[in-house]
Amino acid sequence: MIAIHAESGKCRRAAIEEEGSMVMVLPFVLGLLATLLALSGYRTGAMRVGLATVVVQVAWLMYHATDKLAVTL
Amino acid sequence: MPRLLDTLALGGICAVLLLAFYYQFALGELPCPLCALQRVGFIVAGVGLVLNLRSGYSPGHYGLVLLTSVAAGAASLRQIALHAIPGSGSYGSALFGFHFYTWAFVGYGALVAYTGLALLAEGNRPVRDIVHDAGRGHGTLANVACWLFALLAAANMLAFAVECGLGPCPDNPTGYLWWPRGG
Repeated sequence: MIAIHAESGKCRRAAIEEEGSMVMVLPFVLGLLATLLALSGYRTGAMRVGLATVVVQVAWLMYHATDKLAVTL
Repeated sequence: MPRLLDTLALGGICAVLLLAFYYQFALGELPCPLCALQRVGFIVAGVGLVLNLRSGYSPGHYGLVLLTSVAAGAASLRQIALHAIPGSGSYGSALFGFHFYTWAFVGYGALVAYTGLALLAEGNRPVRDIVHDAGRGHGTLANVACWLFALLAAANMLAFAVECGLGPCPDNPTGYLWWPRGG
């Protein structure tokens, strides 16, 4: 299924929707957790959760970057 | 001095998040998915600065600020590209002639520049001074900035939970999923 859906962004979005894994609030939950860990002095935990937030941020950007741009790059 | 600059930078991020809330709740402009990713960028950048203020300076903390600034900058650049052609419309209202996704891109550029300068400045300080700084008290201003930032991070999580629920946000949101309209 992944091979079929890898053909276009629209299909990638459909694949994620089918799997039900797109939760917009997830990076905000992770961001808050990283903030609380940083405030509490748990440096390593805050860094790990912060990096996980960036990974989700990039994944969600790829999910939403499906419309074709009307620009020549 | 670096602690004061980190505190001011964190205060700037809090100001950005407060302004976004003002437009969202006072003026009724609902954030789109790309807008959400840009807010996440400011939150994670804030985490890097909070780590500097609470646990002491580390290049790794600035690395987190850089990574999220690039990721969120990509989101704002994409939104700029979506509306770059005249007649292709825009999203939300403008402030001083620029829309918020353009201001966000400027903000991430400023964060990258600030991080570079901070790394240059800290890299030239003796290690014993940096270790000494890490052991100092947090300071009232830094504490206020950290707790205000934590409050805003929590408020953002709640706001997006109410707007989008436990799924994706619509491309052009018209209401809050978990907040029934009156009438």
